[in-house]
Amino acid sequence: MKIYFDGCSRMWGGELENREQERFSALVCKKLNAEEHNFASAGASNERIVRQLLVENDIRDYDLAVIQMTFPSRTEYYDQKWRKVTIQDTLLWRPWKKKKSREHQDFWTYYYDKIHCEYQGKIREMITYQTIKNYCKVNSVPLILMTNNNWDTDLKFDIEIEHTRYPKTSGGHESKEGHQILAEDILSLLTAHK
Amino acid sequence: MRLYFGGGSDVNGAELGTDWNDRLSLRFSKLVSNNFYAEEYNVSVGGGGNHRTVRQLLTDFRPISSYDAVIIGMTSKYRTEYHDGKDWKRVKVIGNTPSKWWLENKLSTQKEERDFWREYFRIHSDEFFTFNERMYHTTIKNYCKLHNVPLILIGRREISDLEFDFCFDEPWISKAPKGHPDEAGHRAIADRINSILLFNKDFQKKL
Repeated sequence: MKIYFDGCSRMWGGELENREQERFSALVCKKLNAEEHNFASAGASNERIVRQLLVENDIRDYDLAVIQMTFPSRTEYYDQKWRKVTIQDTLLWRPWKKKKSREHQDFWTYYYDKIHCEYQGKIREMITYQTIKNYCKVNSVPLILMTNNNWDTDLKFDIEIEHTRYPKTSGGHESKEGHQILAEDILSLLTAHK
Repeated sequence: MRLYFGGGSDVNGAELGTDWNDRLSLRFSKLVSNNFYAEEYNVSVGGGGNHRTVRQLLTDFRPISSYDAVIIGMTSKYRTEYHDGKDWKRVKVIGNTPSKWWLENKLSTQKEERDFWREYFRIHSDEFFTFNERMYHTTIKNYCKLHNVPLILIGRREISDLEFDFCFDEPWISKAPKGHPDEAGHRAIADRINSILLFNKDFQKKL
């Protein structure tokens, strides 16, 4: 059995000490004796998740997809390589993190300040959501769809990560215990699905 | 019976007739709809991009299953749109094969935020637009397939390597001076769509 996982740092295992052993994707696969294929990356956008699902991988090779959508304000672009564009929250523009300068910073600052708006983000999120669900359904691959944007979205997800049910670290990611509970919830959903 | 048409100026009937009413009666969406005694629902717009086409399809006020067929013309992968807080604004990449140099340096067709969009084309390479086009193509196909709505997907061979039912730039479609299908071209397109639909088993059930 092969399971496809994708998302942002919440799926990647941000802030975990032993990420590859402690993240929920590893725990689920261990329990099901399945192969874990985790394509998540910190700071990833929904556009990256869709690109990897539709273009970079073949979902028909997998028995299950577990996908975690993220903040719709994030995006990506290709300039010699795929580059992530990440701001820290969903609604308001905040300066980039000081610790590292980024490529094309003036362009993206202008984008978030003058071009991007919340409504556009919502529509993009809805298109991404439909695209992921339809793609898995057409290819007959069961899907568990999660989000960490549950405070701001109107869309319905199987698991909403931004919840006190999942304990957090100081940086806002799920703790080791949070990942254990997420794994249990995914396994419960799979049992109910059967 | 109701038919959905989406896309850019080719679907909208650019260069047809002398006024808007002429265009409405001559474009292939009307001819196909008349052929099947169907309601024509044409949401195309000149300069419309694939993002707009997908957005309209997925957010239409009617469920997609209330249409008996969907006919979509995909457009230049460089076209995009943004929402300015009030309306969706097209980024006006006119013509089907603008050069990267033109996009990065001229973009004279774009009246609003032109400097920003020039910079956008400078820092987004072709890879980005090609991937996006492929994603939109897959999204449209899957959406119709899931809802069992027959789909005819039309492209332009000169700007895309993707698979289409046919392309607007094929030689059997005659053209007006600026490259859009002319009146005879629209009739030929309508004939082709009619025959594709008549051979489609899902569509046959609806007749």
